[in-house]
Amino acid sequence: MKRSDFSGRKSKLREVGNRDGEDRISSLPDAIISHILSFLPTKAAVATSVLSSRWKFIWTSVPNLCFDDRLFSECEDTPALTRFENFVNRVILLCDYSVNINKFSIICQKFSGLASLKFWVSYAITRRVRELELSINGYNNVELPDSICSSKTLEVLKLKSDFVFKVPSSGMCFPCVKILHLEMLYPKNNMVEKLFTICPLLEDLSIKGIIRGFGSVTKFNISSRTLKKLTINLEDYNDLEDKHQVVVRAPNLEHLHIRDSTPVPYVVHELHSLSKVVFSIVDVFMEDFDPPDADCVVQFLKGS
Amino acid sequence: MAIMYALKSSDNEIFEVEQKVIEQSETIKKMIEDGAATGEIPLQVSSKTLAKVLEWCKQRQHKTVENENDDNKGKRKKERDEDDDIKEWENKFSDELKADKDVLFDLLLASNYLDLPALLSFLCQLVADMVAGKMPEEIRRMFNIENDFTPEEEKAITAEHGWAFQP
Repeated sequence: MKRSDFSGRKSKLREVGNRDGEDRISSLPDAIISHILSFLPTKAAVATSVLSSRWKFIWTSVPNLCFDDRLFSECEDTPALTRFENFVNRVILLCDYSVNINKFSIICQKFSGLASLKFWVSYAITRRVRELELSINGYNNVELPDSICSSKTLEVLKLKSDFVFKVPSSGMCFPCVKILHLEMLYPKNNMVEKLFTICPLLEDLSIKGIIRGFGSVTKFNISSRTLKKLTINLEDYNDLEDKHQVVVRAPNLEHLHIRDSTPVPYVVHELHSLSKVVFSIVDVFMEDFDPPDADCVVQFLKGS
Repeated sequence: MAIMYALKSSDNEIFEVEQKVIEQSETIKKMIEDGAATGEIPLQVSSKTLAKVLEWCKQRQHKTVENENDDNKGKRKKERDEDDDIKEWENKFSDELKADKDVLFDLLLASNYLDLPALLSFLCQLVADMVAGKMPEEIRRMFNIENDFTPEEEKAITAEHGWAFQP
């Protein structure tokens, strides 16, 4: 029987089994090629446009846009940061607006002072982004558009830097976000006291931060009926007598992982579903910690 | 007794497969639900490729069944060992495909046709890893892509997309 063939076009060659020298990759359907390109950094995906005419525009429908400034280096005429920004802007200009963005990530570790970040995030949200990851170097507060709080497509949000956005004073924030990972340099009360109590679908929350109280005690307030996994990793450099406070109310929590530089009491309510707890106290100055103190914190957890 | 289905490859070879294994294919699952899977199921996939597809499906099925049967006790260690086993199996599977790119592309088309999302993603990742970090000329050579741009066109596209090639 004749071999059936998917691509049809080159069936003669394939019938005799001599497929040496055949360009199989270019005869794949566009959707598969886009899928392959979605696993590459966007810079590499765009670069495939030069392979042949078949490849010229395929990258424009790639659902993942991942930008990393570490792939850009200084050259004589233009500073690398400018070239990084130009690159992102060019991609945004050329790629297919009708394709929903599955993942949008901006990693800017080498440079600081990105001018267009707010615009890029806003763009990703209008293209119905599902996963957003921003990792921005620097101690400046990075401003994000208000639309991030109300996006109905955003399910995964990973922010690394101190971001500023308007946490809605009433109602909810991040209506569809299930995974929220925040890495903050200096968490501020106006963010951490309220935000983790108003995310309606939150399942996996990770908070990493270095605390400097700036005169007031930092209070983390986490309250969610949907939360299953909670990871907290804090270092407290506060000079105040009172260290940070953490209150957790999560009746469906299954995994709790706490790492803290200070043996502060964690007030945990309504743990009905917990199956795994990891609690470690790590002295930031690398001195050995006195085991009884650690015990005391664990005791506190058990008793609650 | 497990329900078995007979799959017929495009070169007329018959594969007897458990329902649970082959139901990972959304295409076949829908056929079964639709009552269209009586007798031999004719597939537009060669026997060589179909054998590979089933190898993948059986490995995945094996993994799910074991996880279901586990109780919590000692699960973590077992999971770790299993993860290592799976990694090893996947590495071997990848190496074979990298060595024979025709099988790789046949399998890509088959995973698309049979709607096997996990296999499709696995293979796309594999091809992406092969492309990553290579210059256009190396990619062309690896996959026999013919550069059909005229010198003028190539000059134009490199100028136009020059921003993508700068280091």
